[in-house]
Amino acid sequence: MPSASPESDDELLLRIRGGDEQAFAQLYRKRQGMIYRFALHMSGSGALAEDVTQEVFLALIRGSCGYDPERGELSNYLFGIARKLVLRHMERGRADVALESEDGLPAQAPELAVQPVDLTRQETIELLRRAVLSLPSRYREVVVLCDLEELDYADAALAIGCAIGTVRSRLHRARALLLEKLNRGRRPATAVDALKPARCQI
Amino acid sequence: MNCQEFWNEMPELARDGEAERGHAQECEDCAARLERHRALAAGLRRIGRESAEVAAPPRVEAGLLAEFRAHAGLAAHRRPETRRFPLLAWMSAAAAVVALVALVARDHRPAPVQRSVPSSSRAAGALVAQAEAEEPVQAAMERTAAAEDETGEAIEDFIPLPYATSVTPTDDLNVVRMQVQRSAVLALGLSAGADEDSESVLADVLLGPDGMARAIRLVE
Repeated sequence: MPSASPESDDELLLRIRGGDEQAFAQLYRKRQGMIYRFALHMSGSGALAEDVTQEVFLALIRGSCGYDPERGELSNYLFGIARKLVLRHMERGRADVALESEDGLPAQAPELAVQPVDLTRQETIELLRRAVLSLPSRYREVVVLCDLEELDYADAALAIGCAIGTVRSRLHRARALLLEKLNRGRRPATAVDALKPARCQI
Repeated sequence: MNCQEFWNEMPELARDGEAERGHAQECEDCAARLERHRALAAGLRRIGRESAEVAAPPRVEAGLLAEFRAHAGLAAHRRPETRRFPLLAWMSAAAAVVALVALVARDHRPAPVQRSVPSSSRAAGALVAQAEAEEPVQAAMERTAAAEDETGEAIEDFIPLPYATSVTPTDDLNVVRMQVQRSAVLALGLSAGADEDSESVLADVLLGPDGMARAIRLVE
């Protein structure tokens, strides 16, 4: 009976370079979610996230991504490609990126599904989601990678291509900005307060 | 630990669950701020959890698999051609090496000795008027060339002459040491000791392959 241990990304990549379609499908299913979510959280646009996911894996198929296993894990490298693509798309203004309204929050709600919870909390979470989208990209990406995708600082630093200390300081600044934005929301009294019960879940 | 140090170490403290202990127990402001940060972190984690199952639509995978098949098919068709590549590559490389050797040999032939500067040079004309070579030109050239070899930067000491053609790394250059009229040097905006008695100054003049002066370097 063959071993059931999952293959590493690098092993799958070797098979992919040998033309193994199954290996490609396996790697895609393993890694597409994180890439798609990253692009979605960064842009707030499902269409852009779909484009970016496709382009990241096309680069893998064409062997044009220049991945070097000695410089880090494939997943971080894929995040790095996705990040560049997202920033490029956003700079070009090609995608339906949520535009910021005058209060610094995006005018359009992101497309992520929200579980039905009590209205106050859902509103607050929605406000927080919009606040994340309205952060400058250098702060948004560390929040998405470290807080939403739960990467550690070292992996986030590899994906972004900066020092760990930079990730750490940007994250600190990003959280302060988010708190400011939440407090500037239309219901300043409820914005952060509504998040407080979440402490009990820690 | 003061407030600043506490917040400097916060991400690690929060992750290790050490944040409530120590400074936050003593400082109400930091304790309140910490609570807000914890609420924020919980909210962010919740967004992360809610979107954990979000994935690209199946059409993306279908499109990529089709692209993979097409790419793999193309690669298979190209294989017979790639087998011939090493021979062609070696032949091309050998031809390139022969051409390079010929080029290098041509470029390293002895440079002609410049005993005088053509009078047609506008820039040089002003500089070399009444100039007299103070030492054998060949000796000056050899010395300058040796200095350039040693430092690789000697040419940077030269000041380009106005309206002169710029020098490129492949130019066959010559350097002539000569006495240059002090007034001509001053006219170029160079400091040539205007208060000194002598009417000329000692300078190295860089000549291009056409014998025209391109740049000047004052010796003293």
